[in-house]
Amino acid sequence: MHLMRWLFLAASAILIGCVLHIVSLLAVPVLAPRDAYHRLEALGAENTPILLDTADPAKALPFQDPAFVQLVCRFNLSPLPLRLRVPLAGDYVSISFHDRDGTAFFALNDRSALGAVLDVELRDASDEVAKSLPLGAGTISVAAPGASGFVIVRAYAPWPTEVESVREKLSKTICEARS
Amino acid sequence: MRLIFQLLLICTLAGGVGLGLTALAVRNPPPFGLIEAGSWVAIEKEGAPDVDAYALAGLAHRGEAPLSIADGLIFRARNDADGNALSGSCTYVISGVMPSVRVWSLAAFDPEGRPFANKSQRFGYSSSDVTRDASGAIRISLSATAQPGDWLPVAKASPIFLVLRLYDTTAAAISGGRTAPELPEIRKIGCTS
Repeated sequence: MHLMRWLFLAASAILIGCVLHIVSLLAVPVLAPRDAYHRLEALGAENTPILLDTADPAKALPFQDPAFVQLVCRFNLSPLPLRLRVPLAGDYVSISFHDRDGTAFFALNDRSALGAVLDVELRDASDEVAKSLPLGAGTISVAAPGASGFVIVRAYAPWPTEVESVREKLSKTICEARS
Repeated sequence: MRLIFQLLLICTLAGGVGLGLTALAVRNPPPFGLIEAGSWVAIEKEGAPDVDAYALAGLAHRGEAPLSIADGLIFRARNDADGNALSGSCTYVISGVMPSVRVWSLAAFDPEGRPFANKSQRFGYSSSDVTRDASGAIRISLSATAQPGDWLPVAKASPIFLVLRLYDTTAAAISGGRTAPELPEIRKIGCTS
């Protein structure tokens, strides 16, 4: 009888422990104080392009690729969509779109560009007004699952000596609320 | 009194089991949905819109943003070919042929994800600036002390995390029908005490 009772106690502890594990795991991306979004929040305002610096950990994300010049832009699609114009600054240029929790919901690279820039408009998928706005010719429309998140622009610098000129070109990126 | 004691015991045990498992899971990817190639490990859906909760929690814990599956694939290595943890106290040679992708890059970091500061500002090698031999193989030395040829400097005594990014490709495209692509081997050459 005594043994049964202890077994019951242990079983309920493990069961509650498993529930607690699932709940805490799901809470990590929401509560983590130093996740990507929070780190970018410390670097500057929303709807503003910010160049990261590989050599300075205070101005970079952890495990950032040193072969690439990276630019980030936290977006807020309320009330207006985001306009993003990225010059093709290197041999490989890509834009990835992330949710508030970091999930990569879309990406495209220079193969999608029509000219020397990647022209994108990011719209909140649940925003009916935004959907009816006209789209400029050559502009790629991307639907975001939520109103906030961030964009990462990557431009490859094939040689360390080219980092400066790629930075210079990428600094011309426009990331702002649609006017 | 006895009931209170038992309730407290259950709560402590449950807390330990639940939070302990979570703490473990964000530091080590649980063994599902992984692509393993020698020492190299990629999480298949890390950069997908339907990323699993474990991969997402691991990224948030490290403060890292995933590489979208449409952008490429990230392989990470913490161990050498013999399964021992990579350390700045030892010298390693990373050699072999990289899959043919548009761009790849290999970089070394400390456990916090910071590059190792060095005079030559060399934090990694990529498909353009690496030296290849006649067969197309690369040979990069990973060491805290200067090495001939391609040398990736690290800090003495620090654990080393290697990150290999393959751009504009998918695991299926480079694996040639196998479960994982063939990637360069990380071999220990020697250690200083």
